[in-house]
Amino acid sequence: MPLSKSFLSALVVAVLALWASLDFFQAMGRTIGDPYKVTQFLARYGPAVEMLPSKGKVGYLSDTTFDDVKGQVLYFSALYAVAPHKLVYSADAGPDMEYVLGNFSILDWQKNVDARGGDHPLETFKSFGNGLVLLRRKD
Amino acid sequence: MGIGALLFAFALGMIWVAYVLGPRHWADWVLTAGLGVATGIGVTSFNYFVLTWIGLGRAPWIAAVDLMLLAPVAWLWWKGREGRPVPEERAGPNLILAAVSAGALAVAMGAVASSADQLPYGEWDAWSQWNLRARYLAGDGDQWRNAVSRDLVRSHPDYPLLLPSAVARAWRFQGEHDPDVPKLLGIVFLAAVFCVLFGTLARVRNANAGLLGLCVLTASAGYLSQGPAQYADIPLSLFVLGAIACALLDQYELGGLLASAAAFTKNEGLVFALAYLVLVRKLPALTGAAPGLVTVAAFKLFLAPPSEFAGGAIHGENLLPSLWAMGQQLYGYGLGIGHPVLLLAVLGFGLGIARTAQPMWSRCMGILAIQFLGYLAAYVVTPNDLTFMLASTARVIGQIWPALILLLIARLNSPVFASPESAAREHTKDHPAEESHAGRGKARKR
Repeated sequence: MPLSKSFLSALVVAVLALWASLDFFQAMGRTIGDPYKVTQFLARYGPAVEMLPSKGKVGYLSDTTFDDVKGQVLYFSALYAVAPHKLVYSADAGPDMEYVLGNFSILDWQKNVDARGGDHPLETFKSFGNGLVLLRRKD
Repeated sequence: MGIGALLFAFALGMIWVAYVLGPRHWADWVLTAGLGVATGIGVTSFNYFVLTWIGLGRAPWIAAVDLMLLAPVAWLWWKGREGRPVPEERAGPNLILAAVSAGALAVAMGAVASSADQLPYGEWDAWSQWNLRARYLAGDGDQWRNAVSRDLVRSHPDYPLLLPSAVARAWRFQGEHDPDVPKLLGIVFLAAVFCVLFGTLARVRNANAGLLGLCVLTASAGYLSQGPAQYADIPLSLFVLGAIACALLDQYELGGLLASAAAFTKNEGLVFALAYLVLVRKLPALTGAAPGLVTVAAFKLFLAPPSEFAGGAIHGENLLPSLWAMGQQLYGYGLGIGHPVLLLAVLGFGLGIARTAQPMWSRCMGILAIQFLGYLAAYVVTPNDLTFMLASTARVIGQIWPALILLLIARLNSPVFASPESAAREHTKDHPAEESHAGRGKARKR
C-alpha cells in the first residue's frame, strides 16, 4: 500500500481521534455521581407523595427562594417527585387546592407557616421530619 | 417492559427505513439502524402524544396504533426484499483505519456509558424539565396537561414534547418511572448519530470516509459529553443529521418526516424544519413533514403557552458577545491536539476538495447556515440575561455539529488507499463530470 498524502492524513486523524477519546474517557471518569442528589430527594418526598389525593393541585411553601441554588434545588426536586401531580409555586393558589407541601431548609419551620397569612389558614397534616411537612387547609 | 417499548419503536423505525432505503450492503444496514432509531422514536412519540391528547393514551390503544403502522410497512418490505437489485461492489474499509477508528469509538462510547451510569437522572435540565414532562405525560387522566401548564415556574412549559413523549410512552407500558429508560434512550440516540454519520458517508463517498467521520465526532468531547445528560439536544442533532443525510441521498419524504420530528423536539428544530422545507424545495419532503408539522402547529396554537424567550426587543449589542461565546465553546469542543476542527483541517489538506459535490450539498449547507443565524437571532432578541442564555452555546452548536461534519467530509475527495482500479472507480465517483465526458468520447470514437 503506497504511503500517500491521503492515507497519512487519514491515519493521523484516526490516531489523534483515539488520543482524544482516551483523554475524554479520563475526563468523564471524573463525573460526580448523582450531583443533585435526586435519588435522595425522591426518597425524602416519597411518603408525602403517597398521601396526596389523586386529583387536584398541590401548593408549595418554603423558607428558600429562587434567588439561591438551594431554593431552586428544593423546588425543582419537589416538582419532579410530586409529578404527575401539579405542584404550584404558591401556598395560596385558589379554592381547589387542599394540600400544601412544606419544603424547608430549616427544622424550625412552624413560624414560616404561621407567618404565611393569606385567605386560607393551614394546619399541619403530617410532618415527615427534616423540614418536610404536608399542610392542609383548615377550612 | 419499558425497554421493550423502546425496542419496538426501534424495530418499527428500522423496518420503515429498510423499506425506503432497501439496504443490501452492510454499510447501508448501519445507516438503516441509525435512521431507524430516529424514525421509530419520532413516529411512536408523535403517536403517543396525539393519542394522549385525544384521550386514548392507554397502553392497548398505543400498542394497537403502533402495530397498525408497523404491519403494512413490514409486509411491503418483506414482499419487496427479494426483488431489490444486488448492490454494486464497493471497496471495503482500510483495515488499519477501521481498527483505530473502532478503538476510538469504543473508548468514547464506553466513557459516555460509564458517565451515564453516574448520572441516573441526568443533568439539571433532564429532571427539572424533560423527564419532569415525561412524568406528566405518563400520568393518568388529564394529568398530562400539567406538562404545558402556565403554573410551572421557570420550567419552559412551551417546549415541544417529542423527547418527553418517547420516555412517557415507555413508562406507560412499564407502569413506573424507571430512570433507566431516559438513560438508555440518551445512549441510543448518540449511537444512532454515529451510525447515520458513518452510513451516509459510506454511501455518498466510501467506507473510509465514514470511518473518518466517526473519528472527527469521537474527538468532539464537547458534543459527546452531552450524551449522558438526557437533554433534547443530542436527539435534535440526530434528527437534523438524519434529515440532511436523507437530502443527500434523495430520500426527501423520510427527510421531511425527520425534519418535523426536529420541530417537535425543541423550538430550534422548528427553524430547522422550515429552512429544510424551503431550501430543499421537494414535494415529498413536504408530504413527509406534513403530519408532524400539523401536530407541532396544533401543539403551539392550542396547548403551549407563549415562549418566555420570545418577544424581546432587538439588542444589537448582544451579537458580538454571542459570536465570541460560540467561538469559545467551539474551541472547547476538543481536547488539545485531537481537536475536531484540527482533524477536519488535516483531512481537507490530505484528501483535497472534490471537484463536484452532491446535488443537494449547497442547499444543506444553507439550511445549517440559517439554523446558525437562528441561534444568533435568539440571543439578539432575548429579553433574558444574556450571560444566562449564553450558557446554552455548547448545546446549540452540538445540534448542528454532526450534520456539519457530514457535509464537510462529503465535500472532500473519497479516501482511497487500495488498488489503482479501486482508486480509479472512486475517482469517477468524485468527478462524475469526467466520467460522462469520457463516456461521450468513447461513444464518438465508436
